[in-house]
Amino acid sequence: MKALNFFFYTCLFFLVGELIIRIDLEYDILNNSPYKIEVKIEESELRNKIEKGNFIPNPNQTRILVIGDSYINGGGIPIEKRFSKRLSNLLKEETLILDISRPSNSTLDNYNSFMFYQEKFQPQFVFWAYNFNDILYSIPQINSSKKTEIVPPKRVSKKKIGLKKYVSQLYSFSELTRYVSSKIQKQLKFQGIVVPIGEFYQLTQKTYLETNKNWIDTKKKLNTVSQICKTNQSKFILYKMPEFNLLNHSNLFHSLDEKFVNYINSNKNITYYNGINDFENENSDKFMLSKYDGHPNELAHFRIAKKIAEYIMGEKARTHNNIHKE
Amino acid sequence: MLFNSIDFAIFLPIVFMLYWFVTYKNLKLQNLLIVISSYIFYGWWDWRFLSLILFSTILDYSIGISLSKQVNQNKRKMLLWISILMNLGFLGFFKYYNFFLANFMTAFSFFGTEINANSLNIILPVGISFYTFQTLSYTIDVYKRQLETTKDFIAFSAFVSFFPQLVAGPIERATNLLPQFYTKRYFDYSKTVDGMRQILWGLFKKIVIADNCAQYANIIFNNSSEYSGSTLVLGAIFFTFQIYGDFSGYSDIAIGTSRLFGFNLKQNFAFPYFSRDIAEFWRRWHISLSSWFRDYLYIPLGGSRGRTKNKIRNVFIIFLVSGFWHGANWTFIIWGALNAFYFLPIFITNNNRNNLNIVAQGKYLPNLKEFLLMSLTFILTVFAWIFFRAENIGHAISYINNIFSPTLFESSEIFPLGLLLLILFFLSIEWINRNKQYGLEKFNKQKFKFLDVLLLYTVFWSIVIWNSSKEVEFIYFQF
Repeated sequence: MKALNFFFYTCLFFLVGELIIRIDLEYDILNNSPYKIEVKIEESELRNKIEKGNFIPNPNQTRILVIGDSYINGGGIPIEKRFSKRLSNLLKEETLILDISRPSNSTLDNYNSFMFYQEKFQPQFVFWAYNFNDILYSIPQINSSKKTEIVPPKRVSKKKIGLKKYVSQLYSFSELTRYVSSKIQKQLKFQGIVVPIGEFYQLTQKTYLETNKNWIDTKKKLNTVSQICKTNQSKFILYKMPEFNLLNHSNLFHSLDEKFVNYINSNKNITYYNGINDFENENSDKFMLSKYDGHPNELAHFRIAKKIAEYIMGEKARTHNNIHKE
Repeated sequence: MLFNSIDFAIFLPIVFMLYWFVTYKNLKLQNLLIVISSYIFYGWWDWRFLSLILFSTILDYSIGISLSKQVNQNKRKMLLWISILMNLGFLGFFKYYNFFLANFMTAFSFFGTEINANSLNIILPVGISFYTFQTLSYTIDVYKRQLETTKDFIAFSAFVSFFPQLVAGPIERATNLLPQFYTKRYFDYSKTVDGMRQILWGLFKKIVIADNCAQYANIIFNNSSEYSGSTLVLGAIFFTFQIYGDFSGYSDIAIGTSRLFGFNLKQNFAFPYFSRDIAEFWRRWHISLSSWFRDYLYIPLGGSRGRTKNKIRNVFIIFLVSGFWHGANWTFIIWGALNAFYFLPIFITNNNRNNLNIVAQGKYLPNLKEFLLMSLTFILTVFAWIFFRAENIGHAISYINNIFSPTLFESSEIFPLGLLLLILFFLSIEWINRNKQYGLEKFNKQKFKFLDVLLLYTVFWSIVIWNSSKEVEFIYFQF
């Protein structure tokens, strides 16, 4: 009887939780989901002009193309304090910045944007803010005449399948399980602990492998961009954005960083900045928007803009000196 | 360390285990563990200010011993004044120095004399107003010979620094808490479960009610000139529940945590928003502070004895001091004065002790008269809270002016229905259990067991799901 009672009350416990989370999802009781950031896509006049092919580059202007996702686009930051505006203010000379970053852009989106705009805008500097999760995209399939090799299915014990299936079914059915596990993972991640399941672990530990198709494709795309920049005599700046809520746990990204450095060492046409180094020994609280989210705040945007402005001014001074010497 | 933080969620079970499994055979060791844990708990915020607590402990312990040895009344009085001046001196310096300086400078400049003095960049030590009053109660009680002097330094240190109520009360009297450190505590399962229920209820009040109300109260108060009168009314109501949920939530967690360790602290909030007049409200709101002022300030001043003029003076003093205790700002003083004005009519007409029992006792609902009285008291309280929350007097006045404008009858720009429903749910639970020590206390009747469990689970999951995703500090830490 006691065991039955215990079972009944345990089931009731989870049932109440499931009910409350479903009510919340249905009616958004508190109407203040912390991760809801209103995204407004700024359609600039310049962009329209370029898209319509009406843009004529001014040789006295420094043209900078900014590519990336919401991290550099500045979701949650006042427009005047976002990277592009800051950079424009810091570069005192006449500068034209075309910011084509968009929230949720992947490497493929960024690459396509570059290909579309570079020809028409003819930038002297291409700034690509790379986010470690930009690698998640599906590679377009190319039709092949090769016959698909038929691989016999692996033998897996029935018991294992049953358990796995049961867990995944429970996970897909229960809103509560999903909510609680994601909340725990976020909390643990903020403390520097990564559970070896879930997207974050996969991304940082398993995706940037030499055998991974997406990493191979990403490198190809970066090579193409750097090659085009070289041909156009423009500078390609690749800035790897850190996760700003995890600045105190940069060790979580060591393996990924290594892979990146190995790649960069093989491509001398890229000016590479690892953002983690710019925020070394800094406290996350100062630069993050939320503790459960890696987006930078306005102070972080300002610091990145300063760094890039310094580089651009240095490069321009160098070019200027070279011309004078000649 | 915040009660609503991961740090505390780890800290509490460790101390609990050590207390009941390692040190349970030795009372002295248990008390020592409480002292060490309390110092860690406090030092987590800023270890430098531990010296203040230690100094206060040594001072009042030594004065207590001297008082017990001294028979000369003048010398005893002098010892008492040393303790009062030293303790209040620290409090005055850390809390009120800049306030007095700024006001002196304004006053002198009004008379044409300019004084140049720099204000200090002083950090207010968390909980200084609470532990100062607690140690003072010991010295005063020993002076009045109402309490035996303690010779057990560890027990006294544990009494001063007892971590559950160190930073935001309840302000425990030495006569109630100190003797509990002398006697052996036994693990009591039902007491522990009860303590955990009270912690859960405190967390619900803080995390679900107060923190969510704070989001709206902050938006509305910080941009009060931009909102309609109806929204401003809503903002004041949200702050009313924010401050109640925040402070009484802290008290519930403190009392519940103490019960886990076998201690009984006194009830600090007894459902104040169900009061039928302002006198009843003050018997139910921050009881430990009100009774402290009553016993150590109001009664020595003469209390309700003597001429009407003196009685009115005493009432004003106690309310103004109570307001000033909350912070070095004129808004708190006005808040205190306003409450004195509310209180005086019923006090002068001898109606201040009309409502000693809880409203609608033995009934499910109040009658119309009770309901109207409760509503009136609530409205008066909400109005007074505007001064408490406002940045300065000017802000409070402009807030009130904006309320009483034609926009009062427009529909509110902000109307979080979900939060209002949660507040309604919270009030319903408090109403049902209004004759108990806290809202989530176990239902006595066996037939309600299922309902009780259901409620417990609902409260638990509400905390998990409807928390505001931030570790928000308790408001009363700053007092």
